[in-house]
Amino acid sequence: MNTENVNNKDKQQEGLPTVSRGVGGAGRVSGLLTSGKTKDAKKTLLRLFKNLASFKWLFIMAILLTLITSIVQILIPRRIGQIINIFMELITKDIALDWTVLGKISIVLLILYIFNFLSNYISNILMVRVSQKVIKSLRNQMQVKLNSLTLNYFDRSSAGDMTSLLSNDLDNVANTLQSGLTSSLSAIVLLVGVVIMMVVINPILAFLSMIVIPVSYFMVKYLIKKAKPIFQKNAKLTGVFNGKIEEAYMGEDIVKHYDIADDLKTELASLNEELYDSEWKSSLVSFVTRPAGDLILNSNYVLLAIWGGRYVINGVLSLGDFQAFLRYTQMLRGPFNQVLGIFNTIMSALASAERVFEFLDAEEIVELGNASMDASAVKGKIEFDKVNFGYTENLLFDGVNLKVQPGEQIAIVGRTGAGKTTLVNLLMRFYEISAGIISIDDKDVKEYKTTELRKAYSMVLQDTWLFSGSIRDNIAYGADISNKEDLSEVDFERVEEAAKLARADSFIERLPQGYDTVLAEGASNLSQGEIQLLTIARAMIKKAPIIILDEATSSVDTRTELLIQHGLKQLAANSTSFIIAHRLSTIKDADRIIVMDSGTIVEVGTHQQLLDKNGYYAQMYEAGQA
Amino acid sequence: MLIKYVKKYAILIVGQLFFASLWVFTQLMIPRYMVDIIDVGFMMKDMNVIINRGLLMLLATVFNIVSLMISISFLTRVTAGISRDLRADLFEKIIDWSKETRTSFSNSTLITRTVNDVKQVSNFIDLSLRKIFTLSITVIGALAVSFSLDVKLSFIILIIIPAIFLLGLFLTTKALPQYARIRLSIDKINQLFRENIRGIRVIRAFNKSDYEVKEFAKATEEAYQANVKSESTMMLLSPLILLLTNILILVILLIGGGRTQIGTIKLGVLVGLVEYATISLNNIQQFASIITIIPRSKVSIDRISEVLATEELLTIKEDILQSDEKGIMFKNVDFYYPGSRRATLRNLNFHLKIGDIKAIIGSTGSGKSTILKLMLRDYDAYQGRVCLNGKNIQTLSKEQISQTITYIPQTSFLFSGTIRENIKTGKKDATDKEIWEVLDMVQMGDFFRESPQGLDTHIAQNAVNFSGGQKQRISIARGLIRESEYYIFDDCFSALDYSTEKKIREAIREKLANKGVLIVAQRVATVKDADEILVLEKGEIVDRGSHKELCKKSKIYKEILASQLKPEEGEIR
Repeated sequence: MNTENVNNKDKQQEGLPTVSRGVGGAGRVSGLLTSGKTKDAKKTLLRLFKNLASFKWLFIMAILLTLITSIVQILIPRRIGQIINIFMELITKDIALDWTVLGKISIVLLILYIFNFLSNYISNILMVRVSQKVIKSLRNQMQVKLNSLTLNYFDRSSAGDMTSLLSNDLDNVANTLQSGLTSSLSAIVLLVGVVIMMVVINPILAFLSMIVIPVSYFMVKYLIKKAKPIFQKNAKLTGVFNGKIEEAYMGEDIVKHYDIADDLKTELASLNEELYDSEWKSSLVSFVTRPAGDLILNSNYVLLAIWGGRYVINGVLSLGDFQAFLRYTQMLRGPFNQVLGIFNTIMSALASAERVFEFLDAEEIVELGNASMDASAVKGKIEFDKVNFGYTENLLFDGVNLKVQPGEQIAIVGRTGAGKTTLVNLLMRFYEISAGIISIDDKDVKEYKTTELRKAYSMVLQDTWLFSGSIRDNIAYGADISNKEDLSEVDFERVEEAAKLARADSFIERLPQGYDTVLAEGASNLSQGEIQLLTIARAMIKKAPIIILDEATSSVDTRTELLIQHGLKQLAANSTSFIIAHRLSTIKDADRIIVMDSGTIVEVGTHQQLLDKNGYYAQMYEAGQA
Repeated sequence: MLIKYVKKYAILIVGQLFFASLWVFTQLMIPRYMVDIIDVGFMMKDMNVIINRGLLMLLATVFNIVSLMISISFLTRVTAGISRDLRADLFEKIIDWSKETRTSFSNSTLITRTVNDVKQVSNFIDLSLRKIFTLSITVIGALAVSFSLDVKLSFIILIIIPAIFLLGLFLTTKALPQYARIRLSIDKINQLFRENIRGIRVIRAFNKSDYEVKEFAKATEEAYQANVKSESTMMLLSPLILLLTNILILVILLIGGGRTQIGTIKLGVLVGLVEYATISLNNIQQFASIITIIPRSKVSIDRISEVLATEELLTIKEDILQSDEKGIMFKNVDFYYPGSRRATLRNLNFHLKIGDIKAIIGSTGSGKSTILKLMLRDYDAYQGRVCLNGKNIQTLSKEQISQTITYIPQTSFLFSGTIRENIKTGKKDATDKEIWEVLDMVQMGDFFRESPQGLDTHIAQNAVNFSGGQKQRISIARGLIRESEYYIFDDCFSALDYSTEKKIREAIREKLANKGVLIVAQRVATVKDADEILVLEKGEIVDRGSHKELCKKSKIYKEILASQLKPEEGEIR
């Protein structure tokens, strides 16, 4: 389970399709296979109902109609039996047909039919609406939550797990709500009603028809237990085979040019053969478990026909009742199987709901200030005063001090884990500091609303992210737009200008669809260098007074990088900027270089000053030389 | 296209259809025995007939389920078998394709076609053989029995069947586009959510949380609408059919009932007809729903056929202009990527001989890697000549080329498995000693010696447990263990720091002293020791010469050099 998640996550990042590794064909008996563990089922159930509260009346209506449908369904066979009895009397006693009685029964039946149809249809539709509304609301709640969670939450959780909450767990809840709830309710009513009717008709026959049901149930259960390893083996083999296929296709260069195509084909062929074997076995098993159980039920049905026949001949049972009884026996089967599955289904849905609620309860960002910011008036003086911070309880920053003058160009260097990105994270207020003050133009950043504070920054993150959409929209994403506006309302001239400054224009224009080229998820249709150019363009369109570049040009060739730097200077000659980079060429001309090591600023100065000092920076410089 | 695959299983299919027919037949016999029980047993009070027909029913029940199991055991072998055959044909074909042939297919679509589409086709075959066949013969059979029981009443059933069929067809076709809409909207919801997670920092940095919430709400609303719309239609189907069936039963009973009095119909027959009417209507409804699903499988069938119909474009050609000149030679080569109008390479000439170390430098997109691709004969669609040891490479087989040239790719793809297995991809019979030797050359020897599993250290899928630099080094080692005349390195030092790269380059220089080496790179430091450096700009060689010469005469080389400062100055890590 775990490794699968990891794999899927990677694929999502590369924009590859996630190959389904589900159990082949096992869905047919899934009601009995799924299971879930809930910590507090009652609490979860209550909360789920709370979500239903706003559609309370719809829900109650749906439930009521479901009940009515089931009751009507139970009444019908008995009426039909009455009609048959009338005919029976006609034949045996040779009396004239009384059309008024027959007519009355027929009209009652017709009314029952129409009632059944209407209540059935309406309750179904209501239930669809209710469950879809609940799901829509839960989905929206989850996404709003996503955008108000602290970043610590993202650091702790895997993206795959979170997505699975939305795509699997919520779906599970929806399906159970939509069909599971009403169908289990009607199953229970049917079951009880039918049993009552059967007992009324003939208690002995009723008893006989019911004792075999548990036998058949245990047989199916036993068969499913036996079948489980077969399903699991098939799921595993499917996964292995799909993984191999993926590698064989993605590693085409090696496969072809290292002459291993034939070996690979042999390996795949033998896997394919194994898969064939497990595939037919598992689908056979999934088909056969049910009929095997049915064999018992069907045989019992025949025995009832003979036994009941004796009663009919002896006159204990009317033909109409006999007919009705047999119909009831058949009606019993569906709901019975369902009721058996219901417990598992509901428990698994509750477990899913609980996971969703756990997510909805996770820690949120707390807004401290509410001052607004006029980005155009920001001068760009930044100060860290005795700042303490740690991602966990261990402090990474312990009393960090830093003063940056307006318009200064700061380069930050240091080994992996030295705290460079952390410095940026704190500037952006992605995380809250535990002590000290960070200020812009001498005002504590905590006094601002975070969204206001972020107006002051244009940033390019180390983690390049573009959404699947057109290149134009992706660049326009950086522009400040009001909530009502759409990305398409950002002027195309602005997009083009930003692309030019980021030197992204030449590759964009070479693409067949130019700015309208639609990026695949994870921008897999672009090279890493091109992706970086787009993220730079996206930052350039924002024109904020403070610029942050975190490894923004690491995959861009050095010549292009130089051109981008000219563009940046052109754009914001007076802006304060922070640049994190490894390349000497990128950092050498900075006004000041900040050297960091394990969360502390160890040295500050220009390139030459730091070299002359012959300290940590000079050491790194030596080591980085060819 | 499918016929060819189905043919192979003709005997199994015939067997399956036979037992499926038997299954339907026994199924239909059970109500027929009931007719006798009522008409002879009950009416004549003949217990023997009841027991006799009862036992026959029991026998039919057993036969029924046994034949179902047999037919399904045949069927699963057919569907799994066809899946296997399709998969095998697909991967055998795809693996052998050259890059040129592959151009129109992305990796992800090829994976989908081999995995998901095959699954879809197997579902389609399963549905046709299992459902469509049995449903239709059940309807026909039920009608036949009805007619044998009573012709007049059976006509009522016969009339209503097409009506139900059309109704089912109508409602399902109406709902189908909504299903597609649901699928799309769910995909969109998942995608937006996933992207929101991945891009959370960017979204916050640009204050776009509200925008994302708005976009997401649009998608969930769309899913809601599509769901409600499709379900409102589909939910109508089964209650409506039930209503019609019930009314039909009532009609049969009332019309038939009148006739029982005058004795033209027996009560058992009437009960039987009701049963058969229910069976026919039920089956015809299912039939209508299922045949609407079939067009969806056609998409998958077409996608698979497209792959199977695509023939390899690169064939081994005859050559008249053979010479004995050793080395890899490009003569006046122009190249356009398939479908592109801009030339990727223009008028390219160069000659790599044994003992040479040559290098190509240029910025992103200048066409460096493309040269290597032509050398490996990934594409044939160029003008000019590419020769390997005097022979046009278009006359050589894949094996001949790969045995002469070792290619170390830019994207360091590793297979899941152990490190030993990965290195052995380069040389099947490599000993551990040889493996350690190449690992030492790429400065990874100590890393694996310190790792508890040593050469058995596991590499996960996509090598997620290794850093970019480590992957590149393992990929280089895998190339170095191969024995060939020429080694070409495609910008595969980019993720290494300068000092590691320098050590690896020295090791390569030593090991490949009497081989032909070609290095493609962006960094000056990587190429400066080469005998000859080709400077590539927009697909053309603009300058060539040694580092010293280029420093004097090449404007672009000097620009690259300037952007990287002095070649001695590297990185701060």
